[in-house]
Amino acid sequence: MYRRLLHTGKVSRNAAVWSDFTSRSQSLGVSNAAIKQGLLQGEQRTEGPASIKRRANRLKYNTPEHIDETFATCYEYLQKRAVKAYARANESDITPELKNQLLVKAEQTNPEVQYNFQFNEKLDNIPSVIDYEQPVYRHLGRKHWESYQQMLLMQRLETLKVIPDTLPTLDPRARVDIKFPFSTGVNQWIEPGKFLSSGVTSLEPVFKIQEFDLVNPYEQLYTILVVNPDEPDLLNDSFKTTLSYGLTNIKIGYNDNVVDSRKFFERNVLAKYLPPVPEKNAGDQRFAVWVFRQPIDPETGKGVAIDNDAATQTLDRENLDVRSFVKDNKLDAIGAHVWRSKWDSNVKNVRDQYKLPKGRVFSRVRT
Amino acid sequence: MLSRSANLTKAECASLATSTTKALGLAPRVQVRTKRTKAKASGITPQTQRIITQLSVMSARKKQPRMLKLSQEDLVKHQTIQTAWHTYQDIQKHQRQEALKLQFQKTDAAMDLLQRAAPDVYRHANVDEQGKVFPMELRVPTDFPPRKVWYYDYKKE
Amino acid sequence: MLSNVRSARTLPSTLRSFSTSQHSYKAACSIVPPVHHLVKIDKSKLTPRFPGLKYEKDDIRSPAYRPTDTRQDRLQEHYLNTLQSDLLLINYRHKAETKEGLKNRPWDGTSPYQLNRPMKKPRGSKSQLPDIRPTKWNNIPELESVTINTYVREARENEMLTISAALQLQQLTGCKPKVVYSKSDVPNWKIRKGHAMGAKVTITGYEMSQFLNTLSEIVLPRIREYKGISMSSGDRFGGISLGLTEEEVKFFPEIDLNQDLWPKTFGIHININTTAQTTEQARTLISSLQIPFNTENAQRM
Repeated sequence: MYRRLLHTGKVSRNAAVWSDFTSRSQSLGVSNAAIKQGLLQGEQRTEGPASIKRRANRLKYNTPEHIDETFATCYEYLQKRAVKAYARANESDITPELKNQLLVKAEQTNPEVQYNFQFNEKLDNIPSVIDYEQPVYRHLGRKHWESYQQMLLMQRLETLKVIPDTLPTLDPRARVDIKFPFSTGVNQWIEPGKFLSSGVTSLEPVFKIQEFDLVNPYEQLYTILVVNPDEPDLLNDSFKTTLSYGLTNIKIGYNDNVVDSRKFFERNVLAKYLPPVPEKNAGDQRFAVWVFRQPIDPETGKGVAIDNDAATQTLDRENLDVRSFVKDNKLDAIGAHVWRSKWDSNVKNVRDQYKLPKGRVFSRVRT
Repeated sequence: MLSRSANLTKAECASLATSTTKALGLAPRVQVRTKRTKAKASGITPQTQRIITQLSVMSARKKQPRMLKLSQEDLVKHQTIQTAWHTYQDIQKHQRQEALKLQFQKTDAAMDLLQRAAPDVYRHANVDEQGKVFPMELRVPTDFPPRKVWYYDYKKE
Repeated sequence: MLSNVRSARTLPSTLRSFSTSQHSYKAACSIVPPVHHLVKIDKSKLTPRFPGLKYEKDDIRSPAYRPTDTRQDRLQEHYLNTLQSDLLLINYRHKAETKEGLKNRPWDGTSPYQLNRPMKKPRGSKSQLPDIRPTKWNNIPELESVTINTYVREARENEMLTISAALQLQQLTGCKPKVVYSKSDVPNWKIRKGHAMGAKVTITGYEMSQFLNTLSEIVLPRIREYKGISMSSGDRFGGISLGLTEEEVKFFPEIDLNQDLWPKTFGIHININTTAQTTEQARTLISSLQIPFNTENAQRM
């Protein structure tokens, strides 16, 4: 009687809301039948838990006594609360933010969701298991990110003085990861602040931008800048900031969020990739990756695109003022990353590859 | 050869023990590491030995049970149970607080009314009762003693 | 050229120069770093060492995990079901207002030497006293903890007696006690600094309830001609103490049941700490645990 009617968005009012997948995403349940059975109904005592791979270990395992009965009671109790949260979320008078919160509340105590999130890959997620379009997985993802990766990033940005050398500060809201996947690179996500050899960085990086906030992925545009604040400026006896790579008007989704050459065209490229080619004895160079949300027009609700042709005309790539660029385009920094480079024997090959002028060699002069 | 056979027997014993425990539905034995309390050398006086024993009784260091290793399913089950219990406790606490708040507010309202309606009665009602002690007859409720104290004809089922 | 300013060093207008070494710009004193920390960094979570220690204490994977609520707490339930609302009513006064405690007094400012001087001590007290707020639904007195301590005078000659005393406290409470040491030399009492002189233990939660139940239901009724806690007991801020002699300690069933093992027992001091704001409130609370008070004593005082 209360079954969900098509196109109405109504959720059935039955008590077993967590086992009803007619209106809920498949990712909110455990896909492996044996594990699901073990989790929700309790294991068949002969075989042991299905998540243990070796049969000998499975047989050896002892389940705590009475856990299944207790679990059944608690499951019922939490599910009843979830039903209430769903009922409130389906009312029409609430804001999208409140609805998001209620949907998180309804699902975050669901053991199947917890199982999926805790024991599966969170960064290279499979959308059928961890679907970041679901508010609950975004919530759990944010908590997981804040527990380690966000603090690590901020520590590296602060100790390496990326903030305030490039931008005054960062209020991190999106997880940014980079990778150099091409034949010369290493096919793994780079830890912030790592030294990378010039061979690894000779081809452009791939960015992964994981949003946890409630945004409109169809309209929201992103800008990515890779800047180097450590280029020697001999004329002023100082350093200047150069732009290594610039992408604008990028669209990403919650799950489909790896920005590589399939994700953008020529017209999205603000500045083509110039690999790090540090000069000998000029010290380490930091390469800061900044990810910005572009503004949204409040009247139309559409993302405001940056005119790349006009921007390229005025842009001084060799002496970039990041702060004024951000201010002019009303950009909102949501995430960052950093890697470091220093001179090595491969720099010459990279220079040849990109037809760059010969590098200088600095030496100490006694004054 | 000898040692090998001994090993085999040991393994067999272990498997036998586990299978019997499972078959009988007994709880797994909790292993407890305890400290040696008997004197190793005979050069210790009884007084010293007594102190060593007393200290070892107090030391909790080696008496912890082994850490539980839960399978993934059981870990999630445990977390669910814990969440449910905490939620339940929070709600209970909130309800108790609400009831007390209501009691306070109602008392306050009644006293307001009394002050206006009957000032004399109000003065008696608002006497300071600080330091009043509960009567000794107020007992902490117990399950014991039960109505039937001892089952003389008890038989194990 | 903001981008070339490196993190606001000593001289705000200085550019980071390429040719000079950094040492010449080092600050001679500590400088406050620029305020850009929007995220609190917990370093213990960043270290790759000891992954087991990163779990919360209530996580079953943490080595510090201890199961809670494993037993029914009779005293706590009695408090929540019966006592709490009674205590609210007993401590209720209509239109009660906060009674301000004695506070430090400011200088009158007549002399320039009074500038930056610490304020005067309150009149009639060595230190400031807390305000006494009217009892409402959110500050009803409740039991906080019980601290039991024992002082062994004979430990001056034989330090090992403190171990027996500590063991006795463990036997009574089920919690691990600490040995306490004398703080200073007192030649008259033949006490030297740093000498083990006794033991103490603080118990909360279930252990506390269990101990108080045993005390009020088994031990105190067995004491011959016990009058009750003295009305003068109390620290003015919600703590009430009582003492038991070494003979009375033997009435605890933990010791009574195997007296052979306890050739020597030690007298104990029991300090019951509550969240009550005055001694009177604490007395009301503690009297509800069937612990008698010596009311004759009060009339004499």
